[in-house]
Amino acid sequence: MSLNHKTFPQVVRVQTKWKIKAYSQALVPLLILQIIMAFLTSSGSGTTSLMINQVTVESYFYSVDVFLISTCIWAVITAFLIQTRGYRQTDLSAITNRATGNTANIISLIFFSFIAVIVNYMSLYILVASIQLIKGIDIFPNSELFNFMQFLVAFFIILLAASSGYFISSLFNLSKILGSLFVLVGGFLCIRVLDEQLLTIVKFYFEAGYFLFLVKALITAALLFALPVVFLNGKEEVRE
Amino acid sequence: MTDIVCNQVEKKFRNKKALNKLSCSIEGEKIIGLIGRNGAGKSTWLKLLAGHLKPTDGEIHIFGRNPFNNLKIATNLILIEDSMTFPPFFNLGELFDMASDFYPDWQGDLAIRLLEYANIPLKSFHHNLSKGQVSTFNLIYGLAARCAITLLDEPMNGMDEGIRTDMYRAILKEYIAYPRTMIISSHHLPEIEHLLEEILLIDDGEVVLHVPLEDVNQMLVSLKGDVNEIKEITDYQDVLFEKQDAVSYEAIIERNKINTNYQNQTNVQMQPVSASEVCKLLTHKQKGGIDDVFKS
Repeated sequence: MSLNHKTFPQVVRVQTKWKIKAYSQALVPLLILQIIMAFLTSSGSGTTSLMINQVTVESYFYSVDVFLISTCIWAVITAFLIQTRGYRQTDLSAITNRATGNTANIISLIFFSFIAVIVNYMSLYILVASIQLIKGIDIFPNSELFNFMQFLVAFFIILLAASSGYFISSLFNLSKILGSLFVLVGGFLCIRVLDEQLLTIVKFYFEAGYFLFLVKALITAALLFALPVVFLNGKEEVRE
Repeated sequence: MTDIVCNQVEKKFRNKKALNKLSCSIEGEKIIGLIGRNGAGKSTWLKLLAGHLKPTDGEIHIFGRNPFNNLKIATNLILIEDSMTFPPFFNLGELFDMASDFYPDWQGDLAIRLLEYANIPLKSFHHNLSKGQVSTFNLIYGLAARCAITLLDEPMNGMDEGIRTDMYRAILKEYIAYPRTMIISSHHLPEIEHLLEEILLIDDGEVVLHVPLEDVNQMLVSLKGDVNEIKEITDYQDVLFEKQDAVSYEAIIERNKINTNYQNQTNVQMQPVSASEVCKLLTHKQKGGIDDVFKS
C-alpha cells in the first residue's frame, strides 16, 4: 500500500479554489446592498447651496465613501460567518487541517475584498451615469475618475473590516465567553468613549498619508488574520 | 510498519470519560468490525484516529505519525459518518469534482455509477437528500476516495434493506479492487460479519476483544439441560449468561472453561454462540436478560 503525499500549498490552493466557488454567493448580498445604497444616495452623499444674486447653485457630491461603509459592514459579516461552525465542518469532508483551512479562508477573504472594491467603484460609476442620464445633472469629477492609490486605500479599508470580522469570529470559535467579552468591551468603548478613542484610531491610520496608511493597514490585517491561524491550530474540530 | 497504534488512549469530555486507557494495534490491509454498545466510545475513537479530536492522555500513531491536525494522515484517511456536511451550494456532481481535486486516487466514474445505481440524481443537493440517501452518498464518497485507511461510522444508517445489501457488496468489491484498512462501526454485526476479518469490541471506552472473527465464533458455548449437570460441567464458575425456566436451564460460558471430564458423558446440549451474541454478552452488565427487569 503506497501512501499519498500532498504539501501544504497544494492543499491550500485546492481549498481556496473550492471555497471561492462555494462562498461566491456572498457577493449577492453585497450587490443588493450596493443597489440600496445607490437609491439612498441618489441625491448625493452631500449637498451645498450657493446663491449669487438671483441665481442659486446647488452642488451634489457623489463619492465612493457611502458604498465603502456598507461594503465594510458586509465584509465584517461575511468574514464572521466564514468561521462559523457550519462552514468549518464542511472543511472536514475533504483533506484539511486547521492551518490549511484558515489559510484558504484568509485568501478567499482577500479575493472577495478585492472583488468588493471593484464592485464599489462600479456602483459609483453606474450611479453617476444614471444620474446624468435620468436627472440630466452635469457631473464634474473633482479628481481623476480612477485613482489607483485611492483604489488601494479602499481595498485595504475593506480588508481591515474583513480581518476584524475574522478575528472576532475566531475568538468566538476559541471561546464563546472570550468572543462575547471582546464584543461587549469593544461595543462599550465605541458607545461611551467613541469620539475620543475612535478619532485617535482613525488619526493613527490616516495622519501620515496614504502610503503609510497602506503599511499600517497591511500590518494590522496581517496580524488579525495570522493570530487566528496560530491560536486555532490546536483546536479540536468535530462534526455534530 | 504497524498502520494504527493506540497506546493507553484516554479521552475525557469535561468529566465524562469516553475512552479509558484504550490500547490496540492494527497492521496491514483488512476489514475490521468495530462493535460496541451505544456510548461505548466507538465514534470518539474514530474521530481521534481521523485527527478531529486529540487524546486527553496516551498516544495514537498512524503510519508512525500523530494524526491530530496532520496533513499526511488527512491525505490518506477518510472518516465517513452521518454528520458529514458539504458546502451547500454544490450539487452532488460538483462535490465529486471537488473530491477529485483533493483525493489523488479518487474514482470519479465509479462514484457516478454507484450513485446512478442508487437512483440518486447527480444534480441533487446533499442537504435535500433523505436520511438513507445521505448515508448512501457518504458511503460512495468514502469508497471512491480510496484512502489507505477508510473509517466508516455506522455507514448504513437509514438505508433500506435492498440498498444495504448492495452497499455491503460494494464495500467488499472495492476492498478487493484496492485493499486497504477499513474499520466499520456497526450495531448490526450479523449484517457485516461476512465482510470482516477481525472484530474490535469496545465497551466503556476500553478494548474488550480484538481477535479474528473465527476466534470469536469459537469463543463461547451455550449449554442447555439439567441445571446440576451444567453446574458440574462448568465447574461452578461464573457464567456469562443464564436463564432458567420450569423445565430447563441455559448457561453460556467460555469454551475453555468447560470441564472436559464431563464433556462427553452428558445429556446437556452444547451449541456454539454466534459472534454477535458473544459481543452482546461480553458487554452485558447483567447475567440475565431483559426478562429479569420484569421480575418482581
